Amino acid sequence: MRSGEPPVLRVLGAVCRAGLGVPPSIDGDVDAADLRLDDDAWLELMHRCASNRITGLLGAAVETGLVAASEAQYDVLRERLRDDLAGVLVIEQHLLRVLDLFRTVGIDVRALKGPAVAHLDYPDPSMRLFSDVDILVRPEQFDEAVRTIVGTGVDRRFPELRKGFDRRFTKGVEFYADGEPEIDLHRTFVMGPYGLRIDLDEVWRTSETFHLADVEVHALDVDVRFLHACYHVALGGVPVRLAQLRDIPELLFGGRVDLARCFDLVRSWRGEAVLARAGVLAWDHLGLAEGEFSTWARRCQISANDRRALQSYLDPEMGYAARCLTAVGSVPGVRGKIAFGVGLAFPSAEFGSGRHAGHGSRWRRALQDLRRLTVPPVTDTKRSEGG
Amino acid sequence: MDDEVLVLPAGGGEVVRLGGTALELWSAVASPKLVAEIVGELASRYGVAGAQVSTDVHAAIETLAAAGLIELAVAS
Repeated sequence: MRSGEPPVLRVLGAVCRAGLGVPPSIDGDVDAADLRLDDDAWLELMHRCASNRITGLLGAAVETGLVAASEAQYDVLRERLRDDLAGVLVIEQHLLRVLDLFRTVGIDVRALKGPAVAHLDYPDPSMRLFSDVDILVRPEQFDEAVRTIVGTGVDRRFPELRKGFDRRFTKGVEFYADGEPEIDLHRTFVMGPYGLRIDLDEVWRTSETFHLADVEVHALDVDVRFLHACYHVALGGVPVRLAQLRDIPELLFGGRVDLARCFDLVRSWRGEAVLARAGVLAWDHLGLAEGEFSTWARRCQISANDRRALQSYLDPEMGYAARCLTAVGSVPGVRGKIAFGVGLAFPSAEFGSGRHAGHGSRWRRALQDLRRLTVPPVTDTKRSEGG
Repeated sequence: MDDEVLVLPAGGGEVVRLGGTALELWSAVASPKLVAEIVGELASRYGVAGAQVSTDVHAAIETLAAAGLIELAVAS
C-alpha cells in the first residue's frame, strides 16, 4: 500500500499497522484518520478486512481514532465484529472440547495459530480473529489422536497415504463434520522438506499457557510460535491473509521473541529461506519500517536448492506427490527414505481412489510437476492483497 | 466497543450479548457472591439506595441463569 493508491487501500494499510507503534502514514502524506470513506468504500473496506480476518484490527483502529468512521459506518462495523467474535467463541469452545477429549486419553496438545496468538500476543484477543481449530500433537501420539477424533464421528478430509505414513512424515490431518468447525491436527508446521527438517523435540521442549474459560491451554513457546507464524506465512498457501502477516510483527514487537534463538533454530532446521521469505512478505505488505529482522531477511542469501524447494510450495499446480518427492532428501536415514518413497509410490487403495487412475498416472503427474521445478528468481512477494 | 461482551455457555447454546446491568453483573460474579453483596456493590458504585438497583440485578440474574451462564445456589 503506497501513497497514490485508493483511499480504501490506504486505510486498509493503516488498519494492518494499528497498534504496532509505527507511524500510520509511513508511506503516504495523509493520515488515515483524515480520510473519510463514503459508505460504498466503507463496505469495501469491511469486506477486505473480513476476508483477511482483520475486522478486529479495524475495530481497534476506529476505537483509537486511527481510522475515521461515521456513526452509521461504526454501527455496521460493530454488527460485523459481533458476528465474527461470536464465531470465534464457537471455535474456542470446540477447541476446549477437543482438548478435554485428548486429556482423557492422555494425549499432549499444543494449541496453534489463532487462539494461541490471540490470547498470548495481541493486546486484546478480539483483535485476532480465526476460524479453525489448529492443534499440534507429538508424532508418537499422532495415530492415537487421529483415532480419537475419528471415534467421535468426525471424518478425515483425506485418507492416510499408507499405514504409518502420517505418524512419520505427514504435516497433519484435517477433519470435518457438518455444522462443526474444522479441526487441523498437526504433526509438524508444514508438509514437504521444510516440515520434515523441523526438530519436533525442540518444538515440544517448552510451552507457554493461556486460559480459556478457566481451562489452562498449552501453546508453543514464544520463539517457536514466532517461527510457526513465519512458516505459515511463507509456505502456508496462497493467498496469505493479512491477519497472518500481522502475526509476525505482533509477535516480534511484543518484545519477548529472542531473535538470536530463532535464527539458531531455523539454521538447525535449514529453514533460513523460509524465515527470510516471511520477513520480506510481512514488511513489504504491511509497509513497516525496516529493522533487524527485515534487514536480515532482505540480505539472506537463498540457495538454488532453497529456491526450488520454495517453488514446490508456491506453485499452485504442483501435485501432492511432487511436493512430497522434493522432500525425500530431508527424510532422516536410509530406512526412513525408503519408507517415505514406498508410501509415495504405493499409496493405499483408499487413498488412490478418485485421485488418479493408478500408480502409473500418479508417478507420471509427479514427474511432470518436478520437471517444472527450475530454479526461479528470488522471492515473489506479490501474494497478498493490500497491506 | 468495551460496553458489551459476548459469552458462550460452557455447555453449548447460543452466544449471548451482555451490556448494561447484565454486563456489570457478569463482571461482579467472577467469583461466587451473595445477591445482597452484588446489590450492595452496584448501589455503592452508583451512589444510590440498594432498593433502586435490586430490581435490575434480580432481572439480570434471571437472564444469565436462564442462558446457562451462571449457576444459582442457596447460601448455606
